[in-house]
Amino acid sequence: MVKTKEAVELVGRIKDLLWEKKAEKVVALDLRAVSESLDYFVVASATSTPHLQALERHLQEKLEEEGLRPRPTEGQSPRWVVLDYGEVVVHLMTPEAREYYDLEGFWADAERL
Amino acid sequence: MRPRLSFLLLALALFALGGVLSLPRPPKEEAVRPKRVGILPELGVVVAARDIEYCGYHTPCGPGSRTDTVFYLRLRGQEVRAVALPRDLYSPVVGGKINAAYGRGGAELLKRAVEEATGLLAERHLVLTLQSVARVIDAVGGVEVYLDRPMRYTDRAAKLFIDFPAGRLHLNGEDAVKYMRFRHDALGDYARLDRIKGVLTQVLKKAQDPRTWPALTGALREGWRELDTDLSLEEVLAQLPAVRGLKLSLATLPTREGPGTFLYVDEGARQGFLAAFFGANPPALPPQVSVRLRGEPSLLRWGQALLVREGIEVVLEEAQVVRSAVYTQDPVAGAYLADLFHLPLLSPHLPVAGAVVELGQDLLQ
Repeated sequence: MVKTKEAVELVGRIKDLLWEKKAEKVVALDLRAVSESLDYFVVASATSTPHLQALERHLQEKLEEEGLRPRPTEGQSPRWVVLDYGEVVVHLMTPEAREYYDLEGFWADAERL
Repeated sequence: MRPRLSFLLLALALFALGGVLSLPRPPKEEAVRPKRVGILPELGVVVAARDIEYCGYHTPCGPGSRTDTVFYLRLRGQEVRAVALPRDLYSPVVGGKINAAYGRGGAELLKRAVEEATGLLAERHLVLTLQSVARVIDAVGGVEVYLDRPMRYTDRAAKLFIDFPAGRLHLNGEDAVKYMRFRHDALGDYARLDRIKGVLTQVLKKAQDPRTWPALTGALREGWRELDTDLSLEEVLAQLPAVRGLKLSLATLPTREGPGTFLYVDEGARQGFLAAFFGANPPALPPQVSVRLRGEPSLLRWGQALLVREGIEVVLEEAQVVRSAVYTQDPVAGAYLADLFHLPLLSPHLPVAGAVVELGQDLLQ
């Protein structure tokens, strides 16, 4: 399956930005072969709620400098933040939420980028 | 007369996403892990919603015992087919209207009453509250509705004030609940059930968007404790990926009027209806049915091209459409068109000539 160059570059950029702020277990999933309507997920853990907020802020600010803004999201959770950049959806989670909801496990067949 | 609370089939969203996204995780409790059991086996679920109990004038005192909205859901893999049962349906096993079953004998009697009315096996139950429904609707950002005429109703004793202008409206959870309670028009309860089907369709579509998941998490965490259900979390958790591609069909059980304010199961129509509705698979060949396509010009052109290619006769009608869906009483044609357009199938109570396919902006989102 052909990957969209821009989307793959965005996934890489998001991973770099998350690592800059010490995000943990940053994983990117290519969902196109296993989902009719999803493209890419980037999943990352924060060590605490303040860290989660810092990751969200950092990602939003840096990508906004590059002209990218996430689509509006209905409410957020102190344990789980979703930033939707179209083909790429970022899930920032506390370790507990990540273990509990186990998105990677649900899409275990997805290719990892 | 006081409008009674009714509700709703948000169960789908709750059922499919509820456990996955919302269940609180008690710190010391053993973690519930999703079981990868594959496609869920066929399962019948009764979904109902409790009304509000009033202890006095303007004094609601919690969920009531009556369930004015009762749905029977059949889950089969990634397909959900659901039938609404009117609140005034006479139930011999209850000895009265079906909306009294839960109050008289809890979920077990409710399931027996639904089995009696449909002749189908009801294995599980999910009884919702009004508040949980409103919270879920808020969590997905509300719903869009289109009113041909203003919707107005006042019941001071119940503190219920409905005043919606005609036209396109965005409703939050509380207002959407009012919209779904309203049954004071010519078609009464049937129109109410059709409105509920429309809201359910929208909520489910929005619940498939990952952006709504964190908010749903919070809403369902709040609401889960209020629910009366025997659904196990493990089987719910296993269905998360399937929610993305869930196919939904909704209809109303055929009934006939009888003595007093009761409705009775239309035995003559029931068997054929249920066999067609639950057994319908998209036919290999296009159905011989006339289709009216409603929506905005650009979407009409797209839909027309699709239907013409299938050799289906089509009439176009420009209209404002808030939610895309297929409407027909023909389950086989409906299954074909729903499959063709990847849309939910809603069989309204009002007779529909042939089939109507409504295409709205939600298709493009």
